[in-house]
Amino acid sequence: MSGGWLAATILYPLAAGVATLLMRLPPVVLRFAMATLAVPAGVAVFVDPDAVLQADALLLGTTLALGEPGRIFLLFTAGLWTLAGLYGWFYTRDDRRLRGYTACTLLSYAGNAGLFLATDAVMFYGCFALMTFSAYGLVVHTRTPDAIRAGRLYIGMAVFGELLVLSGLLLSVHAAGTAEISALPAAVSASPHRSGIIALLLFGFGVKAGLLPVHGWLPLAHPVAPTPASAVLSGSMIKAGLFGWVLFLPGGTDSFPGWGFACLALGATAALAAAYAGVTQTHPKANLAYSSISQMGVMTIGIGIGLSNADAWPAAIGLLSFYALNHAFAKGALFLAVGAAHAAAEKTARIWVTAGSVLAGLVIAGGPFTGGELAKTGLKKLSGYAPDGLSIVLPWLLVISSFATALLLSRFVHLQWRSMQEAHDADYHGGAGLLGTWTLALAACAAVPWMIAGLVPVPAVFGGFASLAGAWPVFLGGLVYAGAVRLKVKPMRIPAGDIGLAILDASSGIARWWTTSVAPAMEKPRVSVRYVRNALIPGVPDEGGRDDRITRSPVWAGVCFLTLVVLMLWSLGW
Amino acid sequence: MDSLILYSLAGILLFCTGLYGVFFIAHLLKRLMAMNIMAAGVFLILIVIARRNAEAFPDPVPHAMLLTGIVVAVSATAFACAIARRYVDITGRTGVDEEDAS
Amino acid sequence: MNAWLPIAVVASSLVTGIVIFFLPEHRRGVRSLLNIAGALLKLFFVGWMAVGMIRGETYESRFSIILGFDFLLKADPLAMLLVGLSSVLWLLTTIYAIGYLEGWKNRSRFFGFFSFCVTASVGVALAGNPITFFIFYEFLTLSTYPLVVHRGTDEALRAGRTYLWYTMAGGALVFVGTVWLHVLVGSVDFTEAGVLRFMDASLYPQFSIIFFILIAGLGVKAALVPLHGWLPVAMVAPAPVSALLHAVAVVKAGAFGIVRVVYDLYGVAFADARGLLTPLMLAAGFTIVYGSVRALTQDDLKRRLAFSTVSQVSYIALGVSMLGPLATIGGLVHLVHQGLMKITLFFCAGIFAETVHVKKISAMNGIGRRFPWTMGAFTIGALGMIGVPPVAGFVSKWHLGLGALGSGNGLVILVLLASTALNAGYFLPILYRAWFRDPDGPWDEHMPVRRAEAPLLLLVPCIITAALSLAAGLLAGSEWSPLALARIIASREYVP
Repeated sequence: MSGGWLAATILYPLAAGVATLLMRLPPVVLRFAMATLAVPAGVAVFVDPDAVLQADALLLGTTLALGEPGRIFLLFTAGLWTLAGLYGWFYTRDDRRLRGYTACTLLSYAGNAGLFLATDAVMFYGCFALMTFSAYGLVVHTRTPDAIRAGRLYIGMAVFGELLVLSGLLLSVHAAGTAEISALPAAVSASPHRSGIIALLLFGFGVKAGLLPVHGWLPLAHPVAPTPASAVLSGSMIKAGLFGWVLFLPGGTDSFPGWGFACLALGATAALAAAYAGVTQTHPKANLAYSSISQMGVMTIGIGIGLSNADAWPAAIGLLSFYALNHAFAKGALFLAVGAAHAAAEKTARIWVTAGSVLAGLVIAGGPFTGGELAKTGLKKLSGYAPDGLSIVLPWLLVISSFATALLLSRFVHLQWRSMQEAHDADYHGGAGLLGTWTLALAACAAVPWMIAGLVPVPAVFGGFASLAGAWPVFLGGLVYAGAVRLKVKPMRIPAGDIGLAILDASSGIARWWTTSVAPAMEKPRVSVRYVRNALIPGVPDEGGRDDRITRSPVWAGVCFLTLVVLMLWSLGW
Repeated sequence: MDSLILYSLAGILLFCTGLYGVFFIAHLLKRLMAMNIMAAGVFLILIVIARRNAEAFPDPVPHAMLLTGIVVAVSATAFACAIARRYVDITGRTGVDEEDAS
Repeated sequence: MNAWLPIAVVASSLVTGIVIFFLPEHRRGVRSLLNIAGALLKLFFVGWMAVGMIRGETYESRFSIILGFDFLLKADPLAMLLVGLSSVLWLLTTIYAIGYLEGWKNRSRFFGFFSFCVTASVGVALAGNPITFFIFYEFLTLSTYPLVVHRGTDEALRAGRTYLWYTMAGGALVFVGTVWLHVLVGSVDFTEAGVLRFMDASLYPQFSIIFFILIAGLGVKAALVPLHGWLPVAMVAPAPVSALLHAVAVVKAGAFGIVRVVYDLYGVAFADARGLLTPLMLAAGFTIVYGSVRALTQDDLKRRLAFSTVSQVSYIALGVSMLGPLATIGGLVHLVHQGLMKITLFFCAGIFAETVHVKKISAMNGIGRRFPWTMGAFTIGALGMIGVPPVAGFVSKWHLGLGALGSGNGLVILVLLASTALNAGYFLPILYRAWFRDPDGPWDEHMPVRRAEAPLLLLVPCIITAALSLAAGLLAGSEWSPLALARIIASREYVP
């Protein structure tokens, strides 16, 4: 049935989520739902990718279809959520709030998957909103004060981002005269407000994607969520922001060298600064959160290249899809490794977890024979499209970024090792099932990018293998980190959340000022009937009024009298 | 013209006096009388309106409205008296407390 | 038959109301039966009228009161929008009120005036000329006053007094405007695309003054700042009153009046050409932001919802004040959407107040565990108010945004964005408290055994209105949605 699997991609998790909220289902059913939530999506991607489903009554009339970048995005989204769901089967053993967790997971996934099927701006925005609001429940799931605080920042910035996106979409739709996504980029580049629209879309989706400077929520929110939720937050929900850029930015229809350079600058800064911030973290999940920001920075560089040169845009999209896929599985494996470390009781398990963490780290950093290497060489080739000065700088930038990433992830492995050394018996939970599902995630991150490489539409960008020597920045990073540990170097610490903490403090301050100073003043009624009467009849004491007061000065009666006289005279012709 | 001005001023004066009394007198019966004074003022103005054009015959429509108004005022006063009686029976007070209801 | 149907729609609740007045207090069953029968009958007539209109029939009842004054009830698409909303919501609110007022005193009196109020509402919707509109407008004021002061406490009486001051003054302004207009141009009916543009050009300056007088008078009921003062004060009324009247009937009458004046009396193109729309847009924009700002710091749930109403009803005025079919569609469809969402929120507030006596937001920690379905309905309503798709509020905001861009008033989008952010600011904390905190209030956090979480008479209407709000947005593309009707009305307004 054409389109049936597309509908099921969204409807199955959505219905399951609603059912979870309305009924008391046994935990087995809930876990099963979380493990199988992406099955229809998988079928849709592999079996019937060209299906189209028209639903004129839905929202403002929508059509569901899988476009080209959407297919790959849906593939890794489905894959990662499934892995997280399987992992979560064992992770949520002792969870008392399983029902809420399941509902938020299912609804968030429904939104995340639905994004890639949308062909009009309204459906896209709806799924984006569903994903964002449901994920709040995941962020605050543990109900610790840190989680609540992170949740507040998350939702505040999410609403801010959604407002920017909404403005951008309204302007785009107005320029194009239709909400069809395929028509929007061309209309935007032809519009006189195109700079404003690009800014709105860039920073609006940038909140989700962790673009500097609107990234503040990320390092606070990703660590406090339960481990499988962190994995999907960093692995696939971030990519929704990237997908928004891919769909709505007008890179393919015109060249925007100014915006391209801005993206390059922001991306490069993020790639390096976030790597530094991550190295100084003490919590492995915070480290990984900064790594996500750093990697998204690299992807922003790709967007920047695509924006600055219209010919580069299709190649950039293809490459970024692959990069995102690689990063999603690898980041997922890394996050799940944090939980796996808590399940590794014996020595062999610990070595396995450490080795797996190193492998996943290599995949991201671009070590030899990994999907990451394919992505990085591809990016090097893409930078050939950049304007002249930059196309020389960029490859070196990528080298430095590889080095920084390796540094960052070496730190992560170090933190993992330390946490396993310092763990006590009571910390272990999850057991063999957890380790097993984590191994599955590891296998996915190593193998899947290889299997998909041929499907990416612009294979010309791929460089294939560099030799082992081409991965020298990665090895250098590892060596430098080892040396720094040996030499007990103490870098300046950056608190997890940097800008985010500042935003939280500022907003608390404003809220406090408002509720104590401004609001009470607005509540006091300054003018009321009694006030007016007292003002016009001076000297009236507030007693029971049983006497007539006709002897008091009738000021307002006099005013009334004069007005009526004037009106009457005017009507009589004077 | 002069007499018209005089009549209309008188009507306005009565109206305003009555209006003031309606709002600021607590005693129910006195309030009712103030309303009737207002009505008298309105009637005077209607008479003036009937004579607004300097012709031989006054406009009969305002006269008709005035007569109707007198009848309505009488019946409304009767009704209001009945309500006031009932109010006194129930609450025992002869006036309406205004101070604490602003 | 065609001439009697509008009368029947209005009379179905008038007759019911009169009969209920004479019922002894203890005859609960008969009273409830009459109420529901009246509501169903009205719904039946409205449905008949709707079907007939699709088939192309016209329904018009015209009586001459005096020479030159016609009493006119006419069914046109705009009237059907409000009549449909009022009838459906009256049925649901009647059921809710029957459940809510269980054990209260003076219920015959209450339901009598309740029926009168709906009569007035429907009359306002079906009114075909300004005179008839004014008659029902004032009738609405008079029939809602007893409902506001129903409790009889000092606070209620004070609130009623404030309510009367405001609405009587507004009514006086509408009266002056209507009479002045009549003196100038004689008896005019509401006509699609306006009728005053055909009049003598020397009258145009007076038309402008009349416009502002009318808008000021209607703006009292429509809660335009600074004429909104009665609305938060009137929240002392029982929840069914707040729900239907002050969230739906009274404010909608005011907003509907503004729609009628701009579209069917002046014509939007004519009003725009005379520069009348810009002040309205500024007033609406200011009200939207001011209402939301005041709502941020209210702890009383109904007061917060009242200020939210002040803010949201001005969306309609905002849509009306911009020239362009998309803005028109946005404003008109928000008439229905805001009614559905707001009544859901007030129903929920009433359930909390009646079952566990929770009136303050600070006492609402963890209430979602005790009232999952109620809080679920509240969540849908709240998300709709914020403008999160697919609840209906998003559809209105989308069209208003596009309409603002289309009419060259791009800065209005800033108002919409600010309002969305503020709405999130005062609704999301409620949702957070209810769902994500543990119960710590002085109320019993355990769900009743083998009963529903709240009396079914209260719960079911609440869930139905929530479902309707969701459906109005989710299925907005279908032919039967409020959006489709708004599109039809808009297409008739912009005659080339």
